[in-house]
Amino acid sequence: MASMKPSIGLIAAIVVVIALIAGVMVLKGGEKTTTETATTQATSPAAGTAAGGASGGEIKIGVILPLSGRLAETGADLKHGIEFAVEQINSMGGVKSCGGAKLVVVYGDSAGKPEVGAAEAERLITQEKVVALVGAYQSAVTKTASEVAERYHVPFLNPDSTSPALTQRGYKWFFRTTPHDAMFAEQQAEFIKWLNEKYNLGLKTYAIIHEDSEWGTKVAEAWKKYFDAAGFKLVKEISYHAATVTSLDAEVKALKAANPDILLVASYVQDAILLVQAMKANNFAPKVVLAQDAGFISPSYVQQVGKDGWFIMSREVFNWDLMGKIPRLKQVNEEYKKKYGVDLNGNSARDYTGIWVLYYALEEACKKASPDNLEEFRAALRDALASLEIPADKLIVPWKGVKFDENGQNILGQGIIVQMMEDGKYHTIYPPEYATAEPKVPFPPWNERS
Amino acid sequence: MEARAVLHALRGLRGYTRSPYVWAASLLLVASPIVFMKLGLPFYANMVFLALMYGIAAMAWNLMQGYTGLFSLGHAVFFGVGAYTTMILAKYYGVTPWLGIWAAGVLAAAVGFLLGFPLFRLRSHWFTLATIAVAEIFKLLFAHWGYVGGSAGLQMPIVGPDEQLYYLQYPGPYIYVYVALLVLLVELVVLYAVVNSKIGLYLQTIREDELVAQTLGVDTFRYKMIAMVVSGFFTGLAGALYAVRFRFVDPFAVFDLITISTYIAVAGIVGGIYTFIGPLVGAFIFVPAAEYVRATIVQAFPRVFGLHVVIVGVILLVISLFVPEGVVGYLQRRAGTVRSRG
Repeated sequence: MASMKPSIGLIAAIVVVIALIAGVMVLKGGEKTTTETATTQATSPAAGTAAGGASGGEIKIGVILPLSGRLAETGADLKHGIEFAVEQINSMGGVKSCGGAKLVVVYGDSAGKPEVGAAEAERLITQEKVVALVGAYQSAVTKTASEVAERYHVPFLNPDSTSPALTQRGYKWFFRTTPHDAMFAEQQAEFIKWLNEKYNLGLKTYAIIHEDSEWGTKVAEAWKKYFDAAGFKLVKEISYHAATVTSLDAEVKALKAANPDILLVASYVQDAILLVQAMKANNFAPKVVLAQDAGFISPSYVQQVGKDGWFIMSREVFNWDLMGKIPRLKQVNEEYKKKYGVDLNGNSARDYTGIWVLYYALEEACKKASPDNLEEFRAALRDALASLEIPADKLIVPWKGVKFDENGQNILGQGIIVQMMEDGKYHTIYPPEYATAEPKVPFPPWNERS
Repeated sequence: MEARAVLHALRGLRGYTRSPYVWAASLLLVASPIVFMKLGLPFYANMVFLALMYGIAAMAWNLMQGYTGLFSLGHAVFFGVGAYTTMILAKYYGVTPWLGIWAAGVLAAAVGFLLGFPLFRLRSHWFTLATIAVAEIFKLLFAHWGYVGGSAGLQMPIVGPDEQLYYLQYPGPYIYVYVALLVLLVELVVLYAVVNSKIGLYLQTIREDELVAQTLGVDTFRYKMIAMVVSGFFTGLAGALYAVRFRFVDPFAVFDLITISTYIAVAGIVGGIYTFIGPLVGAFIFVPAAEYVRATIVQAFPRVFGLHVVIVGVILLVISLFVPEGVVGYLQRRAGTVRSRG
């Protein structure tokens, strides 16, 4: 031990000290909210809580999000939406039909990995004994975490993953509030038809350019399905690899040669910028340029393309100008901004909504079963979700309401179409009940712009 | 000739049946899932599973690194091929994972065999860089291959209770710890025999000086190939365990440079690359430590992204400064039994 080299014991001691400091920080730290339990997977007491779901007038829900890893920033954003909803519900008296039981959230970090998400789902269900799970943003993580929930017969509410495959698995315990990519594509085809009728544009042909990961590929498939069905003709389809692409000039030349009326785009940030630059350089101006959010709504895209982004349209789930259209949203956003210093966005608003939807179902489930009997209560909660009907005026998102089909998909959800106007901001142009601006069509040629 | 040598080396295993440490460790491992199940702590049982999965891969990786001197940072290739093989056999062809796991090993070994031809033309760090590139290429290939689900990956459908055993689908991590232990047992026996036979000696000669080994008449290409194939086989088994346990594969998870290739290498280095059992011990140190740090740090500092990675890095730095030979290597040195054959 007294040799020149420190012993294993010393190293172990250092590691333990670091871990202890971290542990103490947990108890002291982070963002203080009354709803956050300070248990972590590593420091939770061995026996867990003796009573499950509800103990001392509490109802436990598990939330799985990417709180570390590449998407940690998005995860933190989603977490705020969830925290905020829980706080509101608790301050309004909790779940009334359960005797005012307070909602308690136990978080699980997926680290953005499917296998970690699955392990977290197991922990939250059997160790923390939550009544339901909410999560998990990335479609791959939602796939594995909801598979675990299905196996253990626990309701899984997914407010934020858009892969259509998730609600094609025949699961009984899976519910998704957000619209998925196929629904968005269907809506976009309707939007083009609406443009034709209203503005007499005579749009007939369309072309697609998309990045080639799961998301872009599936979006393109859905577009072809719904645009063909609506009677439009595909003249060109081009894909590229977003991670390595350095120029889209050749792709744009090929698109221009095909001369489509409509250009449909599924791009991430850098490739969206490249595309707009190449379109300008080649003076390629189809009558309508319609993107599928992602890159086109990121702040860094908006900043970098500047004026060149004007008049491009994009599908969105949320937009700042909805504040004037949805009374509840304005009020919620003001309080939210006071607390976190930022406006709600498509992600935080959807997760906020997810918790509220779960709350409405909890009110119903409490009439049928007691949270003390965990299995019975989870089943009651599942049935409550399945028969839930929430009108639009109770939501802060631009949907027609919430009602799940037999696959657990909310059929009343919808996106909105926004267009960047000459103030450099996106304005909602469709559907009409949420529109704050007239669409500027057709897309003006680049050489005729000031 | 080699098969006889391997069988002969197996006699050396008898010594281990008398070691109290071996008995204690085995008992702990076998009892752990039952204990955690009774306590209702799947998270810890999952940690044991992950440590075993990485340990199996790290021991296989070490046949190339510690014994042959081939530093690979592309073992995700074997891991991923193994995971996909088991998944595809079960999902498309209804083959039970009990067989699929071994098929995964065979296919991963075959991939190792094919990769040997181009890769063995490269020396030292060029070899390492090439292994990284190969793993990345596989990731992209699988992401664009529709048959294997492309970038969406593949998920096993949930089967009824009567097919649970056939498809190895059980709730929780507990049963999978035993499946992993079974794989580990096979690996320990085979690897022990390989490294304690003439093959092991030839491999170490190559590690010390490949040119000298060649002049002594060792067919270096052939023995490097043996190391790669055996290493690929067992890393493929680790990948198969992943697919069976999580019932989901996608190219970004199983071909990952950091969480697969690098973790495997780090587990081996922490445990000690010049020891037989070191990589397994290293996995049992590194995997829980990394998971624990992540869990606590993310809770404590939710807005400081990536802090847990820094802390794990510091811990690794401390270990590499004070025990450069790895934990097991250090313990063996202190016990005065310096042997490169554990």
